[in-house]
Amino acid sequence: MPDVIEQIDSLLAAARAELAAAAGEPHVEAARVKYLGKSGSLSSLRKGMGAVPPADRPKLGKLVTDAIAQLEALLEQTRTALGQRALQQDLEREKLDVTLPGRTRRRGHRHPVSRALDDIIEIFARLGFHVADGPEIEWDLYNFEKLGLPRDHPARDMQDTFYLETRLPPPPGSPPTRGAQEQLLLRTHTSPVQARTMLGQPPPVRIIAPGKVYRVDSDVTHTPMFHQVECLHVEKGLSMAHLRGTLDAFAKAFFGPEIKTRLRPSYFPFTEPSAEVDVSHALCGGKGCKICKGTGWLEVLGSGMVNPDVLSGVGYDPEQITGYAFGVGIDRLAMLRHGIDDLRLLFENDVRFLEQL
Amino acid sequence: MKISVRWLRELCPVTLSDDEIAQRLTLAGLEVEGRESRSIGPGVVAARVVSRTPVAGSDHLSVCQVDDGAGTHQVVCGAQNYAAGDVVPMARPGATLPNGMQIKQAKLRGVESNGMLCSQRELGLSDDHAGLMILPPQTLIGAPLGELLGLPDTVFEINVTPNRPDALSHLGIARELSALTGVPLRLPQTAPAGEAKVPAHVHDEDPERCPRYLARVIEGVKVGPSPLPVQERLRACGVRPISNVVDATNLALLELGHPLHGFDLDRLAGEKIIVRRAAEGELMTTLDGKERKLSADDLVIADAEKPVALAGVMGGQTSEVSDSTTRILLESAMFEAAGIRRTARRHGLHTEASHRFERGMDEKTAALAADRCAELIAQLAGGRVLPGVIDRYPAPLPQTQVWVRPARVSALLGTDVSAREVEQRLSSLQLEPLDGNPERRLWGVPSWRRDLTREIDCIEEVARLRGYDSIPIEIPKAGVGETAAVLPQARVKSAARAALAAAGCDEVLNYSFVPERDLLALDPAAKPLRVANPLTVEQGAMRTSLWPGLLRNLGHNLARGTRDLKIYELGRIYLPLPDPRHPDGPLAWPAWEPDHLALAMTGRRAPKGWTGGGEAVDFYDLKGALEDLLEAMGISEVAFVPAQVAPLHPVSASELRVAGRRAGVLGQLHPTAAQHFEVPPQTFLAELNWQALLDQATALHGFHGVPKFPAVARDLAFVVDAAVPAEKMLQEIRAADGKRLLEQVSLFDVYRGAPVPEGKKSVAFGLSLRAADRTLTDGEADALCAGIRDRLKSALGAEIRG
Ligand SMILES: [Zn+2]
Repeated sequence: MPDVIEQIDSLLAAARAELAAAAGEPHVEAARVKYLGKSGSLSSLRKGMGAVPPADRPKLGKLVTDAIAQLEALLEQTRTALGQRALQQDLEREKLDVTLPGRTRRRGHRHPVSRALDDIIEIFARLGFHVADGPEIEWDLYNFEKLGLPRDHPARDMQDTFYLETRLPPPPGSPPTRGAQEQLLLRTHTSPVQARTMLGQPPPVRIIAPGKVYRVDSDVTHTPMFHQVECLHVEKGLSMAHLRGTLDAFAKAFFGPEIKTRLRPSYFPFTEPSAEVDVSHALCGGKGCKICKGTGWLEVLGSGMVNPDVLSGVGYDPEQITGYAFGVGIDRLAMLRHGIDDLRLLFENDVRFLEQL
Repeated sequence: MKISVRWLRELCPVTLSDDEIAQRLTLAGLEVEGRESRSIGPGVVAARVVSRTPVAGSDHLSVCQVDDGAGTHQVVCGAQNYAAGDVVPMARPGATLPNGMQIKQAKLRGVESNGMLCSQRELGLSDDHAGLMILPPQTLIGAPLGELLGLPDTVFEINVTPNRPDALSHLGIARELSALTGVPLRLPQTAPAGEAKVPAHVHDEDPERCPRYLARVIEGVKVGPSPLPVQERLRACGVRPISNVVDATNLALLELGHPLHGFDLDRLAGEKIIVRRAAEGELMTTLDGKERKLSADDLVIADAEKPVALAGVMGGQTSEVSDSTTRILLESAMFEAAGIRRTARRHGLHTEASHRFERGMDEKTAALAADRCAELIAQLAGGRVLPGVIDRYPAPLPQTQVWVRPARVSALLGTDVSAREVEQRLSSLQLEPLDGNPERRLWGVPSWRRDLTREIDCIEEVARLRGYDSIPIEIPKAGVGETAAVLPQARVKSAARAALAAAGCDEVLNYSFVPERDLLALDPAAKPLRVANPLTVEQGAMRTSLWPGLLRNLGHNLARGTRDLKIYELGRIYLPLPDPRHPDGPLAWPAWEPDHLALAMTGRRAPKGWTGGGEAVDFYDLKGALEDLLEAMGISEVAFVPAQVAPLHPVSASELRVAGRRAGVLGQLHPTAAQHFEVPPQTFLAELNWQALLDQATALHGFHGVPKFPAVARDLAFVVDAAVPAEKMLQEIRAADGKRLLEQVSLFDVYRGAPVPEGKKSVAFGLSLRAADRTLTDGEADALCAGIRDRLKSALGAEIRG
């Protein structure tokens, strides 16, 4: 019996010493297995209980149980201490150089024109306009004739046209041509979508038609291809006040709530009355600067009430139905919005330009 | 069009400032786009050159003694076009020229110069810098030049829209100003015609193309230079003074807007004017010295023998007014617009006259202009206007009459406009009330306003004169069923763009026309639609692929030092085929214009950084970007299959299939094509059919529940023939999963080289297994793995590794 007590004491002492020296969890676990594992020293003592006289068994049993409890507490203590020490060490590690660059992934950039286009589509969606689509390779009939621009009309000079070499039989109602080539062209504006849409459905019509358009023109302020959005609203009871309202809402949504709009009489063959639309120049606050030629206003689009001839040309009754329409040059709007001063940048696709926007 | 404000004020004597006039006109639709102020300070005077001697040691300078009325001064001058005795403008020391130049006493080549003799350009009068401005010999010496010329003046550049030919003159603008301000017009003096016989004959053989032809005769003229103020007035309007007779026709044109032409009556064979079509191939020499071969569609003015003018476009040389001319036949005619336009286009001539006739002139103004011009010729060139007139006007144009309803005006403008106001506004434009009542009145339109033919035209006039500012702002009501719903396609598109941006791709926008050789370099069989009149051959063909544009963009950026490039474009291509979406009927689209999406990559995946990077992009970067894109668009049934694609390198040329159908191609650029476009061979491209993607896209996904039971993870590595595609192995793995326990398979390693035998590769897969209704046991997982092993062995000869 004293042997056993001694044995327990020495086991405890040895375990204490080992745990005191433990540097980490593996040591603690090794000690646990050694003393408390299935075949650990203290567990063996308990198994060896059969050799002890029955009278001593309760006492001895208690001694062993106490020893196990002690050891378990010790293990737990050691673990906690080690954890504390490890935490302390971790917190005191050498500091990172937080000024080193982070791991980033370069994001791509939207083209300013396509972005402006999407913004405009969204603004008009809020105003209840649907997107309508039309071909860029278009017939003279829809690009000019149906919009009140017959052949030999001087206003055709305003829109020098690219024609295609291809010859196809034009749709019925097309004007006669001297060269068959002059039937198929690259649309000079998005307005043919107006004619196509109205020919295809009865009123009301409330659409925008975004897309590419083409004119034989290339200089500092013109590219042979550019982008427009056509807006058309035809319904009973529309007036120029609705045109103004829609334009004003659009300008404020696109450029900012402080923007003002101004209508000036002008001429477009497919609208009457027609108006040029100026917006106040945000950059100079309408005070006048070099960009706005000192006027405080920027000319941004052409608009008007749909010409009654256009309405009757598509089979609507102009006495019953009125409408307004306008066409916006997107490229210019994008330039104004970003302060881009050179039109040619838009189609050079220089990444150093694109990634700034 | 250039308008002299001084002249304008003579015709409509308003008290407004120049600024106010510009503002009023602009807001009435006659946009003042630019203004030029013409003035010459008192320090510039007329002076006579007394003597001129060369400066020693200079090949062009002369030293002159100049009399400026106050004394004789020594001036050094570099011009060559003058001699002693000439009268020229001299800027005295202290004077400031319009270009800001200050005149000082100076020494040139050591010779003292007390002033400067001036050219027209130096005085801001014209672009003429060929030599000094030579003044008429009788000019008063010492008189300030500004006063001699009738300065100061302001010149407006006015943008006159094509519907307003009536405003292409000082009178036209004055009429507008008068209507806007109520200040009455002051019409210029004319020499009205009486009933006398005129010594000439006019035959109008084509009254359709020439509805009216008026001729007057002025005898005893003396051709010479016009007085200085007349010359200045012409110059201010951008017209070069020529001689008093020609200047008179130009003055009348600028004043009244009607083109006029003066013939030397003595050079008209038979003293005859015949208005006729040219014979096909007939020749004539126009005033610009060019011999022109005429078409049978050209209208000419001929004498008894030959054409003497291209009607309404340009006069001919044979009957041109010259220094010896004494008798003038003055033509004031009306020509049909479309015919003039065709002739002007055919001969590449755009003149003041053709510009106006193309827009439509007024037959009544023609008579006024003839009388005014006759008066001006007599004033400037002496002579006597013969009292008679020849007037061929077989079918006088009836007055246009238009009904106008004030209620309609109000409805269209969205604001109340009273009947009284409508009447006042229309009257101010010289429309005459003819009939009707306040609710509906018939108006007679003045002959010069040929653009006013319908009620809407008159409504526009009322709106214009009262100002568009008076129109209220009103938002249209939302229509029934018209909601601002975001369409699924728009959602998918913006998700796609976000994915492309996340993949580091910059968006580009290219012209739709490209050099045809670029298309042929990619596809020798390309048959693009061609532009008949391109600006350059570089823009001659409608693109049938987005690749030429993207490859040129790569080249452009590489040439500027940007080497790491990932770009994309979403836009139409143009095919000479019927459009399957709009194939039939009058509204069919003439060509097929499908949207395509293309990507191009070259350079490094990411720039080298301290954490790594710097590796070159390869096929799998491109494929990964597409996979991300397709996932973002909610497209699931996707396969990449090797394919022959001509402009791509055979090692990686492949096509994308969506739901089993070809939706695009991708791969490395073919080395030959890389050479053509001057881009690195390590360039990777994809081009996808956007509609094919949209057809399979899912804008919004449904929710399937979160798994309730844990997954079991297993890794398996196989050694297999190197030629076996990964996709094949994946298919076999999935095929072995009869109980649908395989939740996910990821291919995480591909390895070739020792200890893997030659011609073989090791491919490792991570499997995630899960049952939806219970916790999977190890036994079940082991069984599936064994099944996979057996299947890959029997199907592909694959051995489990390690
Ligand atoms: Zn400004």
